[in-house]
Amino acid sequence: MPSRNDPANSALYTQLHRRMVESGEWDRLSTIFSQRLTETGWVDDVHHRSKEIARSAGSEPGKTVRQIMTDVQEYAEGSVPASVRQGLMALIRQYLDSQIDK
Amino acid sequence: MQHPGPSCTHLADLDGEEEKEVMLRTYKKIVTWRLQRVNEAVSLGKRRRVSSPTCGTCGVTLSRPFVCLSCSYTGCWMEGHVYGHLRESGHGFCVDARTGSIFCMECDDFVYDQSFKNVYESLLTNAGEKYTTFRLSRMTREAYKPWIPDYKDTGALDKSVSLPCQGRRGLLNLGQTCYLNSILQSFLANPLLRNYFLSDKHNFKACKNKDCTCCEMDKLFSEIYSGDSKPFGPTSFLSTTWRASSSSGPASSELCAGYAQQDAHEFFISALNQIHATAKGSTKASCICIVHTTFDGSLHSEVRCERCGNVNATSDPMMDISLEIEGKHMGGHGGRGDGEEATLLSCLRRYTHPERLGANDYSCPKCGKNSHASKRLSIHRLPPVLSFQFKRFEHPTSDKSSARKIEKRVRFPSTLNMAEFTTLAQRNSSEGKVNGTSRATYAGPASMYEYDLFSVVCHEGSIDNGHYTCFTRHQDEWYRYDDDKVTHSTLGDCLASQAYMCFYVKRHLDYKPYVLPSYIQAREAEMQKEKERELQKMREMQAMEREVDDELLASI
Repeated sequence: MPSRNDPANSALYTQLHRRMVESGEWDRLSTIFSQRLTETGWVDDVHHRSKEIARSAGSEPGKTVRQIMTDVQEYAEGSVPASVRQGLMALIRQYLDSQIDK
Repeated sequence: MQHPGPSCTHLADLDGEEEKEVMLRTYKKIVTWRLQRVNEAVSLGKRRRVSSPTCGTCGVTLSRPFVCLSCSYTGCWMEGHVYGHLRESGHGFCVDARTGSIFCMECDDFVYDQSFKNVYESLLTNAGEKYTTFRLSRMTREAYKPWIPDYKDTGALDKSVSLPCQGRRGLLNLGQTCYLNSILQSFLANPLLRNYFLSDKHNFKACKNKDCTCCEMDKLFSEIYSGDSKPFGPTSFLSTTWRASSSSGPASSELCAGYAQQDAHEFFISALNQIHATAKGSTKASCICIVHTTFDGSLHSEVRCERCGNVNATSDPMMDISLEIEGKHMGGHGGRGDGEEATLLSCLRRYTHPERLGANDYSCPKCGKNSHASKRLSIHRLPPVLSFQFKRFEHPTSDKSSARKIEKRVRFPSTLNMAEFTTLAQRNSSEGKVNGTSRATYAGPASMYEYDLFSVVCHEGSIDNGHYTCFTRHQDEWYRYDDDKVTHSTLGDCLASQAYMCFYVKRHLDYKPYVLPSYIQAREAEMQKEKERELQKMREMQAMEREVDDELLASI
């Protein structure tokens, strides 16, 4: 998989990314993505885990949002259901194909 | 919702200073920009190309900008660029434009501050009003007015005694009454019922009704909020339920009388009917009693004749939605096989999916012939509290032994958006298909359709030897009620339970100008007449006394 940090790709990535955000496509896809993640229970699961991480750390001094995010990030990224991931990839590919001729 | 998190001393120290005023103004601009953008993107259909801010560090276009509250820097969060900016520049705070949350560099965390929260909430309400119009009158919504206590209210508040705002008490099992205990716990967690009874709208000491279930609710709330934590036995609730249901006909008396295990949903419906019957303002049509203002929505049903295309539409009131867990025609509908897990949303999709009626099931009023027809349900008006039942108990024949329980797990979310199941959304999507456009009637901001889960009633065990338990939420904490046992629980445990009923409350309640209810107007008119009658009597008495006095004087 080509990395976006690779200088050869990063310029293209930046440009495509801007196009997606400015056309509203980015927002449309994030809405679909977050609806699918809510329905499959991913959002509630990550919410539950983050909350229990915060609870087990106690209140003094407690955990900051940044620490909780570090703790939960790997699990959260790994537990996105395959069907949701593939569905979103297909939508992004579809968008990119539609942009190539223009 | 109130955030219990510790407030940030760095922001609190700036109260009243010019620096905070400047930050609040910047904050207001950022949030307004974001709300305008989100709402116009949806309401204008195809969005114009709008330029977006870029990250001041890496130059990437920002879909979710974080903005510095001290300068014009915008940056991304995930790559840590906005954090780097605050560290290098010594600026104290930045804001997440999407959520309005504020990050404090010195706390190294997101913080809560009342003045920022007030600005955010009022902007959100304003945007909601601005982007909604009534479909028929084209009028905009009534402007929200926050409640500011006048001198009368302040006086009443000064005299009142403060009570803890949460009450948690187990309910004793009075002989297989876990169905009743679970439903009562879901009532106790219902914010609309709680506000009604705790604000003394139905005082059991002043009520003259016989076998009044509303009084029982009032007593129950007083017991739960009394500060006593020992389990409570709802004996008088149970006996009132028996008496009230036996007086309303033999069929329903069978339902609840006796010490038999009952169905929680049947009890829920009968309790609602009894509370409605004994509540103030109760009427047969468009009732404004507490039960109807809380649970009442309306269901729209459309039957389209396949012969002549005539559409026959009706609207019916609904107090709750009963959902089938398993589809009748597996694999036939929308290509979803039974391998897919059941979710509340998939059940709702099936519920609002067109259903084909048989050739002899429908007689079209227009062409007068029997024909195939398709029937479709949708929600016309959403209630403040949405209650769902999953049909876990099947009774294929009237013989009791043939009943079976569906054990299948149904996944349900802690937040729910009901937009796609409304009549408006259905019309939009079918019109879109006909015209081939995606240009639909804008249905208002998403906040009008958002619901939060607050209670779940679960059924564990088999159909004839099962047990009901209940989960309820207070703010962001979950509790499990198993008759007299109350335990602190988690969101995860609640969502993993075998739900039989789920209760959701609307996140932003609707509001309209205050109108004095007609029953109060009638009562006040009656009191006025009563006063006049007494005045008249007094005048007559005085006149008589004067006559007697005059006569006495004359006789001297």
